[in-house]
Amino acid sequence: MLVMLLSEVNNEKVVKVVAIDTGNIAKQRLLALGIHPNDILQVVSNPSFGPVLIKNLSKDNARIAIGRGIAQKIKVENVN
Amino acid sequence: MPELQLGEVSLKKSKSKTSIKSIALVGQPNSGKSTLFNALSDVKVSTANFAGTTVEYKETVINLFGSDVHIIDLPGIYSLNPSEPAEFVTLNYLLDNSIDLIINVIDSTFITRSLELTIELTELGIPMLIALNMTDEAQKKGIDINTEELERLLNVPTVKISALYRKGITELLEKIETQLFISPKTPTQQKFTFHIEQVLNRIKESFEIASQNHIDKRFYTIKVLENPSLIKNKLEITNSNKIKLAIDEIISQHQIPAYEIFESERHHRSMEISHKVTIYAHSSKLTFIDKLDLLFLKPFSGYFFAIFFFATYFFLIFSAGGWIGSLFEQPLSELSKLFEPLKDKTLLGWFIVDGIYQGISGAIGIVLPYFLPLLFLTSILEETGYMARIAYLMDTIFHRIGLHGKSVASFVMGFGCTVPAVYATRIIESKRDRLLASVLINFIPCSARLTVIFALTTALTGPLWTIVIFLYILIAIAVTSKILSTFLPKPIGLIMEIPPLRLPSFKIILKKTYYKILEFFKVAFPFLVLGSLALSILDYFNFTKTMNSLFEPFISNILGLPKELGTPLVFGFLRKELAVFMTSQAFGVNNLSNIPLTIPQVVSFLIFIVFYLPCVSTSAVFWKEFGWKHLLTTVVLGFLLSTISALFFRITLTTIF
Ligand SMILES: Nc1nc2c(ncn2[C@@H]2O[C@H](COP(=O)(O)OP(=O)(O)O)[C@@H](O)[C@H]2O)c(=O)[nH]1
Repeated sequence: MLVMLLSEVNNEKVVKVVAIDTGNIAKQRLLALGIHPNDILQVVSNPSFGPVLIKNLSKDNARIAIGRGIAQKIKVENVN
Repeated sequence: MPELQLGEVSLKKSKSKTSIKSIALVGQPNSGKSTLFNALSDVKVSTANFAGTTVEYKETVINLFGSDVHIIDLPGIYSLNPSEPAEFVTLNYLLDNSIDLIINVIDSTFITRSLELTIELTELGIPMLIALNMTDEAQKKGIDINTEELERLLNVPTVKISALYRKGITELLEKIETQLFISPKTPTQQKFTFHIEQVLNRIKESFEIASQNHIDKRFYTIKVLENPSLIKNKLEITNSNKIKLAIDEIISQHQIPAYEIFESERHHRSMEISHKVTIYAHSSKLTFIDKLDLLFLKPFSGYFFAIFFFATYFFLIFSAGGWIGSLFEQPLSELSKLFEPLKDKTLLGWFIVDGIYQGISGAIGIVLPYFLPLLFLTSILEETGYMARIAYLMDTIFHRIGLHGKSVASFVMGFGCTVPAVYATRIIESKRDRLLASVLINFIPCSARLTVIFALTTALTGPLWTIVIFLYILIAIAVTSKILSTFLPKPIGLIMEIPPLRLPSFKIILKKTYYKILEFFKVAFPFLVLGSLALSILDYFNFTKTMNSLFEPFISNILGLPKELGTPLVFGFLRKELAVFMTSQAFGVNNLSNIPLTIPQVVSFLIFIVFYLPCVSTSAVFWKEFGWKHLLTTVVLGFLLSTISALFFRITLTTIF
């Protein structure tokens, strides 16, 4: 499976979280907001600048905005 | 059955004379806690602030089945491992106060994620009750939750409710009665993997809980491993070596920090429970609101709508304010005629009465007309969840001008009042980022300054200039930020939930507006009347003349304004609203539109007022939060910015006109 960064995923694509390689503070915040490894995320809006907006399909489709810098530290893989 | 219950209740009631039972509402942000709180308390509400923060909580006492019960609505939290000030407030409240029942409010449409907090709450060992809220929305989305199964798995009584439509409240009250007075059940706690349980067992005697309380010791045992700094001052560690060894053992065996193990085990458990209890009838399609929301969120269309909404917002405040103000004009001028004869009898008496009159009529005739629609419309933006969209859209721009994404919400709050907005920057971990954000928030026109701008531009320049002034303020803040932030390291990114867009309840919006107006009369109104009275008395002793001539060199020569504006600017330090009606007082006119100022003068004056000095309350907060040196820097910076800006407008506008 091809592993890529959340910040590189196109709109509408569905991916699975492989690893969260951010610092501890960001990681705890992500976990608290329900983003865990193995969760299935759909990218709602990934403009060329600004935060990535995702929908967590594993957690009732909750929508979370993730700053670009942090999205660059979240590894994901394609799911079909 | 009812007789039995009554008997039980009255038995407890005699006991509860000494200690009244206490219920805490706990839930994730936007789960509908406040709405439920309103539904439960409909009678009276007192809002209070937690010491040291302005994270608000509401509490009330209601009479339930013959006993008084205390209910508190705690700030929304995602987790009991806090990362935001509101979360610390809630956690500390739960740990430090004796609570008989936790009502865990859950947005049923977010059941899976919400259960993680529920699992954490069970660790406290306090009797609980789950209120599955927003049942109406869950139904629309085809989500059904098996309450009996959930109740069985967690040993927590569970009720489906719809707080907004007051559905299920009776059943909720019945369960509250059972949990409080009849047969309280404590929740079943999660067992972690064998090895973790072994470690927990080993260290549970290695510390004492500093103050005896109602929390299960197991909670502290877990936290000692998971998040030791959090509960440090609540425990006395008796065997720190043993604890250290345990933490090292966990890291060496599992290769990840302890908090991740606990988080992931809770996560698995909540997913497991969610799978067992949730039934998805049909896959939910995008509704009209969802589609609209996407337009609000995506770049370009999002910006377009944001500009459109804010233009409408300003236009409505502008026209409603002007209209409401005109309603008061006639009665207020009639009122002033009543004490006119006093002038011939006792001049000092007249000055005193007139000072009070000016204060009251300024507050009611000038400030309130704009403040009212401002509060009302802001409540709508807050209640629908649209503010979160603004924060999301603005993050890009914020990042570019060197601000932390987390500060967006504080900036938005700054349009209301600078004081809570500065407190809200506490969510930013880095002190330098926080200071930068706070310094700039102080330049955002708060509702008092907005009122000044709206009132004076309506009377003297027309709406086009309002827009010019706003654009200028925003640009000035952005440029200042860019300049200041070049000296600071780059901020880190944001992680924020975008809650669903919801149709607001008209009743709740009215209620919110009402409470804020009440606060205005309690806090600001006395300031305005006393300030105005002080001015009038100073006037009588001709002291304002001295004051004006003291500031004349600066105000007339540099800003190009009449020297009479010296006093309003001095008093503006108390409350910015004072600056507006003191202006008419200073010129001795009783209608704003008669103030003898040219358009360039009005514009420079307004820009100057917005930036020149933080008001008393803001200064106090700055002092407390950052120390007097930073307060001084802020004052100097504001003074520079306001003078440069006013000069800029003076020069460019006078060449045009
Ligand atoms: N449809 C629906 N909306 C609700 C319900 N309860 C609350 N809301 C709305 O959900 C939003 C968030 O509610 P609020 O009480 O402010 O949540 P809090 O942040 O937990 O205090 C508001 O717009 C409420 O009007 C409900 O039962 N059904």
